[in-house]
Amino acid sequence: MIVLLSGEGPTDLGRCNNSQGQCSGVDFDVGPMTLLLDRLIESSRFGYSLLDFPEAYRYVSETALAQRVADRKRQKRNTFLVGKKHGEETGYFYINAWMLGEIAQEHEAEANDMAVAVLFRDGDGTRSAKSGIWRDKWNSMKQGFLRAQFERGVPMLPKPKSEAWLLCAAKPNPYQNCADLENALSGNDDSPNSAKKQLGDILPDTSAEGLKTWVETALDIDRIDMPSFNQFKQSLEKAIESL
Amino acid sequence: MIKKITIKNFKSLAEIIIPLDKFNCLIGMNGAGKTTILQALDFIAHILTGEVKIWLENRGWTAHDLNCKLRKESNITLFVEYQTDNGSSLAWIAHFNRTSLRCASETVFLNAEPILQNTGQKYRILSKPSNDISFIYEGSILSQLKPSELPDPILEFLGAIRRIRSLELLSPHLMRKRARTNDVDIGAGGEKLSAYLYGIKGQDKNRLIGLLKGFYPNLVDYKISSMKAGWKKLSAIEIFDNQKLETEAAHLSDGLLRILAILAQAESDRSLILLDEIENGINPEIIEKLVETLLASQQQILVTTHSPMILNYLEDETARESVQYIYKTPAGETRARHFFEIPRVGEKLRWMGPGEAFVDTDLRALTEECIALDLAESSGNASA
Repeated sequence: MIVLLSGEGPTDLGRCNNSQGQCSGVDFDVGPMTLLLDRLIESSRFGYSLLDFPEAYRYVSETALAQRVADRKRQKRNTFLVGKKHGEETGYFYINAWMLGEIAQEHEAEANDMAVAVLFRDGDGTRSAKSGIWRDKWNSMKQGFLRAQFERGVPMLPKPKSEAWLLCAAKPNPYQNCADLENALSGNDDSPNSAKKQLGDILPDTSAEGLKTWVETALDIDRIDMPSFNQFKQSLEKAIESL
Repeated sequence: MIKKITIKNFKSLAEIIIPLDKFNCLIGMNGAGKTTILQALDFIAHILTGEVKIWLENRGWTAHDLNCKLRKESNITLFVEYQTDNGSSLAWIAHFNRTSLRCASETVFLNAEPILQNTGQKYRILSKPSNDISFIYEGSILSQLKPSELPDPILEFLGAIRRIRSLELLSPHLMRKRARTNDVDIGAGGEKLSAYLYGIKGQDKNRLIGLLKGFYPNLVDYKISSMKAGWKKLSAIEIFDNQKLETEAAHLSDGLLRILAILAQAESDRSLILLDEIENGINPEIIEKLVETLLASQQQILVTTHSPMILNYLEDETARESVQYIYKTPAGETRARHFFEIPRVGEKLRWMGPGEAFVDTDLRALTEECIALDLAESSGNASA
């Protein structure tokens, strides 16, 4: 199995260290969210970690997705419209998923293997602060994968952002009432109740390395119970089942 | 080329600046004021031809309808910045009085130096002595002065503004109507199209048919037949399966008539052509061709559109420069902003075509953001 990943940076899924838009193996600096994903894969019916297979995780940067967009834009009628299937202000999510879905298919054909694609975006990051609700973004990602005719696309869309999932395990009374965090925290890092700030108040080291160590040693993946996390988990399980 | 228009106190245009490029496209929600901007430009053209009364009559308006109900003043202020063919900068500033239907005062600057002044009682050209205004006129005094009296840059400016043509009311219903021989020009609704086409002959007609064939390959010619009492009838000639078919205007499609009217204008000596809701009646197959034609036109073009397809056929750079977002403040004032210079909208071009970015944007939320930007900018200017 190949897992195509695309995220926002080192503190979520990771990044390429080879100055290329795509990487795997030693060129890929695994991020804390990839470790979290790997734990879910290990505990799924798939049954083992993919970290021991250097070519299993393949990272595609946002820049590489944007480059692919340039080709798509040349075909002026190959457009998307808002409508019943995805709402206004979610085109960014739709198109990212569409491009990643196409890349995933190319990897499948080349490796003669099946792929799952995981697209990480903060549900309410500063990038998309204006309007647009979480459900619309989720649906847009799903529809974007389908536009590429790729069935095993998994949105990883923490609400408001990845730190909220980690805070669920790190907060006092860990794993209790975590659903509340989704609305109580802000995705804006400058806000007083920013998810990032609150996690920083609890964990001594919130660098990518610090978070990875903490995910590996202290996080119980089976106990996180938050709507945005559960949606991701179910979508991932469904993708793995269809392999 | 007309570089910039500033309008104060015209309908919903309490105070607005519209920079103009060669190709310009206005977008925005219904009722934001896009068409009002086209009307204001047409108004300026008629002030400078001295035909304000007839202009109002043709629209079924009175002078009372012209001012902005949000402002106290009665006069309409108009400011046009124009670049002459040799690169000089000409500015015409006028205060139009709605009671007398003429400009209460006017100044023309060339490279920031006044070259004509009209105080309402007297006028003065360059450094010549002032003259009393002992004649009655409508609109601008420029419409009444002898060309031999006016400096060349003013004549060029006057010619350009008078050759603005508004087709903002383009309606297939009016285009189908027959016209009289003595009707030589097309109206804002496309009326008198047949008489106008009748005046296009020889090479010019061949060129027009060539352009039209690009849109409708079966179309080989159009014909204007003279009827009794000087009426002119338009028909199109198409070839299907080697068989010629002549169709009278009454039975031609809306799209074909609109394209014909637009192409005829795009090939004319107009300076600026105004087209409202350019996409109306046009099928998606020919939208690309239409956008190409407008972009390649010799004239300045100002269109309004609600069509993401029209916008998607613009290159990103063209879209950044040409697309202006028209919005209304809660008080009812129309404002404009370059759409893709609004940061989060410009960012969308990384992922989407201009038309996709347009439909992906919640315009209600965007209007609120634009108003917040206006406030921030005006308080920034005030503190500076």
